[in-house]
Amino acid sequence: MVPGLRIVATGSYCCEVAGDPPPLKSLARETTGVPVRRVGRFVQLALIGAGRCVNGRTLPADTATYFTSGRGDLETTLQVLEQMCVEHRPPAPFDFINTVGNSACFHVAKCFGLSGRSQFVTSRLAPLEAALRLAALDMAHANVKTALVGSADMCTAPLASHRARIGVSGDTPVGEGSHWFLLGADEGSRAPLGFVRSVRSFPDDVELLRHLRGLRIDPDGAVLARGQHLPAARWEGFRETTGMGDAFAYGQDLPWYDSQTGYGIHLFLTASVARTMVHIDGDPSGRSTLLVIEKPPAGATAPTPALPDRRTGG
Amino acid sequence: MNRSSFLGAGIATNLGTGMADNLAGLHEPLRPPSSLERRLDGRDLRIPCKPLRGFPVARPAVRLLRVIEVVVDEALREAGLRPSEQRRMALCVGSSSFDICVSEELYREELARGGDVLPLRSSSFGNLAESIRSRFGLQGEDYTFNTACTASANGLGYAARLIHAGFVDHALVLGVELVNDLTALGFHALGLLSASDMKPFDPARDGLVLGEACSALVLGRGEDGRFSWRGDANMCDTTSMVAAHTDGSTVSAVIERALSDARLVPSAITAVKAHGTATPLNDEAEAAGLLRAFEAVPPVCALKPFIGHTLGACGLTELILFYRAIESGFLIATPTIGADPSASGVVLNQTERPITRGNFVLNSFGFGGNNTSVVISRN
Repeated sequence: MVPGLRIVATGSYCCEVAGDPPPLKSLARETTGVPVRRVGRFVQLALIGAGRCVNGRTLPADTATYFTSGRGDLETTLQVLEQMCVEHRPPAPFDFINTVGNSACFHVAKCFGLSGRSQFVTSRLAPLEAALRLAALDMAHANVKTALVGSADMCTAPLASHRARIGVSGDTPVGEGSHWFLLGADEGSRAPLGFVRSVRSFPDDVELLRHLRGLRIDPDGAVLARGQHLPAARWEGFRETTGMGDAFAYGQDLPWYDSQTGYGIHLFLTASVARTMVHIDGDPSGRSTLLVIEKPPAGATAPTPALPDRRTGG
Repeated sequence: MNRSSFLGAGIATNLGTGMADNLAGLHEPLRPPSSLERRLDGRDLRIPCKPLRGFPVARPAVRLLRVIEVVVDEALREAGLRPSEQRRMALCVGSSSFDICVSEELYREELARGGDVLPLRSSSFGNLAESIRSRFGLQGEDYTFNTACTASANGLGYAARLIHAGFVDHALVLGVELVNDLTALGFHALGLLSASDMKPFDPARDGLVLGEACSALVLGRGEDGRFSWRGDANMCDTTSMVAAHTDGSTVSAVIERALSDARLVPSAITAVKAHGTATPLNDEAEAAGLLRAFEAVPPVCALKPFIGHTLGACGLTELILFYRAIESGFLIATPTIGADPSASGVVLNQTERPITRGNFVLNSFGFGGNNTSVVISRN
């Protein structure tokens, strides 16, 4: 169990793409309040989600950033490949640099004045869970007090190629999303939206269920959420075994993009009446990933915010 | 508290394939780089490179998986884990280019054939980790780091911390970087490549030489006498996307934080492995940072003159060469390179010093302001 991993704020953006992906520059500028120069749509996407999460706060400079994506800046990487392989010219320097995953971490850190840990970390099974797990590790064992954890996954035109590239059928709705969470471990932080009670991966479903039983979650106040990779048969097995009748089907109306989990957490924290979300994903090799998000008890009083809030002057 | 010790290592670089060849290569005169030849914008380009020795350029998909298999096999053999331990261990992969060499080849083949073309046919950052998991039957948690030239150093730090915290018993860290056009032409476009060879902290330094490497390290709880991870720090320097602050403030900050994490004072450090990219600004920043962090700078060595800049693989690859050299009884030297203190204030170790134990700082810095210092010890 991860002690004291408090979710202080959440910010989210997602959009189905039916033609050309929408321009994001203006939205990124409006959301963050700073000019967005020499960056592509991927970084803009990351900044929009992060900006909505930070929402005008001034974060401690030591805040750590953990960022994830299934495929990173596809648009820039495709552009650079075309420059090299079709046009036979070298990439533009900034295009080359933006193909590196952590260039988005740099822009997020610069935008919010952060100098703490900065990690681009991913996993094919569960990218956001991987980032949350390392944030939890650092908050428990590496003196990280505040962390900004997020994911971004983009869509590229033409959509037929994009669908083929990400391995979905021709009629699957596709889109892009950016989902961020501000974590604060200090007891003096503002009232949390929720807690990350557990985030772990397991070699098989049996071990996951054993761990889940140990958490002693009240099934009446809990919803079970299905990750985007979990096969139907295993999902039904989990529903039957856990006795959690209510399914939190956040993914059924979402266009496909990697790391949809972030939307599930955001929706649970902001729109669900349930107390606990048990989110399970799994891959074809039999591994499974568990993420348990819990809300504070109803009626819990909010402690004085410790993070200064630029909007209210606090 | 669980010590994260180094139980087994495997390596392939320009010095050779396998630990014995690599350690022997550290005693030999430096080899000049070879060249990648490309034609762009109607001009012939020669990009300096130190490719893997023993793995001739072949189909990238075959070459990439083959070198990973050989290197991981070497590390696992030495670690001698039981099958059940291996199955459950965590996997941390660090690279800046992953399998982009494979995507480039597929794209060129499709262009040459004509008809339907789909660049980046397989685009997930997690591809390599999945290949390794599948090949070696790993069912533990996996993490893939893409923080440019700190990627495998960061992977090592998290692997060690996962063990230190008791989250896992063992972890396999892999750093890999093979030649590809995106990287080669990107560095060419940035104007960071040397016209000769890498000479970190030297008045004649003029840039870097790209290197290929694949390295693997198995970590677990080990007994005294082994090298172990003692602490680390990672910070984001937003001065510039491509270089640390030249006043050394951000470099010294990450070193000081790593020392604090390791609960050591600067005077307890026996030697430093510099990042040493041989570019004017980065060496200036690192030298200034070392001078700020240490009242008396300990002996400093640099590995890139031997193997080139292996980018995302450099953190782990250089750590393995460094600690195995110390276990063999010597601190690595680069005679004549970085010998002049007037260039940066930092002098590289010029003769192989007999050192077998101590506390060591290893630096890695990457694009995106990603600065990492790792502290390792052998007592």
